[in-house]
Amino acid sequence: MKPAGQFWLGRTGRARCCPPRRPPSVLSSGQGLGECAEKCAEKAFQIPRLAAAFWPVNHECAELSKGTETNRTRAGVPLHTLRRERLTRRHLLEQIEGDSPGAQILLDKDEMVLGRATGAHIRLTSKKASRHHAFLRLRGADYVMVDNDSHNGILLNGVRVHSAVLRDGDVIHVADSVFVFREE
Amino acid sequence: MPAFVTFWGTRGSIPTPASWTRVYGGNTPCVEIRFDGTIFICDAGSGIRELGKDLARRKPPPKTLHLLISHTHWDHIQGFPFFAPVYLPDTRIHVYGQHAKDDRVCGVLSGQMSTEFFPVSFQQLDARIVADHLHDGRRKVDGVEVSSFPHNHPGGCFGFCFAKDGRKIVYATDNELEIQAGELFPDLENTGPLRRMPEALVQAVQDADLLIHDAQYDEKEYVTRKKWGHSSCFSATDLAIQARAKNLALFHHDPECTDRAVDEKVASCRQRALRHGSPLKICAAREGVEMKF
Repeated sequence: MKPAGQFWLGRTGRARCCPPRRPPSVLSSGQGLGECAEKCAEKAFQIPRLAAAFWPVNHECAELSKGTETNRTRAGVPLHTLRRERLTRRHLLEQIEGDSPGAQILLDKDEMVLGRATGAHIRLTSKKASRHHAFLRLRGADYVMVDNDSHNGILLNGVRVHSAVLRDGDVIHVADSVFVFREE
Repeated sequence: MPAFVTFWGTRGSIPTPASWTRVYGGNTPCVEIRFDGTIFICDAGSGIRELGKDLARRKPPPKTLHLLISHTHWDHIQGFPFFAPVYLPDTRIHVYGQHAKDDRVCGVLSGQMSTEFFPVSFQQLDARIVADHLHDGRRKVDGVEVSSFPHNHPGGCFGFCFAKDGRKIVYATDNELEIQAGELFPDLENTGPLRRMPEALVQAVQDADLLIHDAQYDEKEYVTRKKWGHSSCFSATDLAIQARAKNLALFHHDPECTDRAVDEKVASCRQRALRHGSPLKICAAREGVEMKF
């Protein structure tokens, strides 16, 4: 059986959650650190008492703050009764034009690079592509595509955008390549 | 320096979380317009909550924000109490009225936080909320020329124009572009000529890099919703064409409008622009999309 921390990391599918035994969360104390809205390890600012109820908190981190309760949530709900959408949901880029039409690229990292660079996760050979043309970043449960100030930009469903939260069926043009974003 | 526009809330009237609003979003209006480090926030609908979270993640988090409210109907102010920066003591938020001593917007924002509606009062907010104002509809803020112009909407409403270094962004929601006598309406076949638009409005929008305009209805829907204060998407397109705007974002989607219906509106508006020989680029405002001009 996995230790508590690993179990929770597995549930989110990514190693982005804070380790067990955090300081008391805002949910339990009414006042706490402004952490975990996106990057768990950051202590951005103190949350004033009045704000606590309205502040964005990663609830999984609040659960982890209990530290020892591995099989139940704070409310005492058995974990096996909870939905685990992230375990089964995958994000894919399906290439429909370009170097490898028909290829399906699993998005399995917090940040992936599209471009001509040798180290790019999704490599493009077109001369119209910049070396690090765009990034795919995981934000919460969504992937966000960000143009890295490339020369030719990116098109989302035919519209030039600087960045965009991607949704199932979105068509993305990067240089000569065309991808469809899929959420399973 | 480029201007950045980010859509945080694009839905009209009421937040509409649903499977069929997942693409364009269900949050009520909030648009961020950024020139260098100067951040303007147009409206405080429910989308402003996500903006607040995003601002907190930026490095460094901005300390000064400029909030312009088009009008105080509920869907344009309801997110304010959930806007994280209002709880940060070192944040300064300028809320703009139209002229000196016009603090009506602050009054309404405060009113919706009275104890009957919300557990934290306006006076208890940690940020410094400054009741600021334009000078009779104009003002330069950090080098950005901000101007306002009146809209046709029950109870009154204003659009805002932001211009700097040759970039011009226009935010114009909750504006009914009425059909004039003799014009083809409803233009169900999309074959009619351009509709006549008020000259002052065309001037305000002239040569905009981006016009964000109310397009709550399609032609068929607008037939039964005249005088409700919102426009048909064809009228919004005609305004953008006549003002030679470069881009048009259809905005304030109807709560009943599915993602697919929004796509269809965009397609028919593009067809209309094409038919009139206009190079106008048309899209629908979509939550989570950032555009650069």
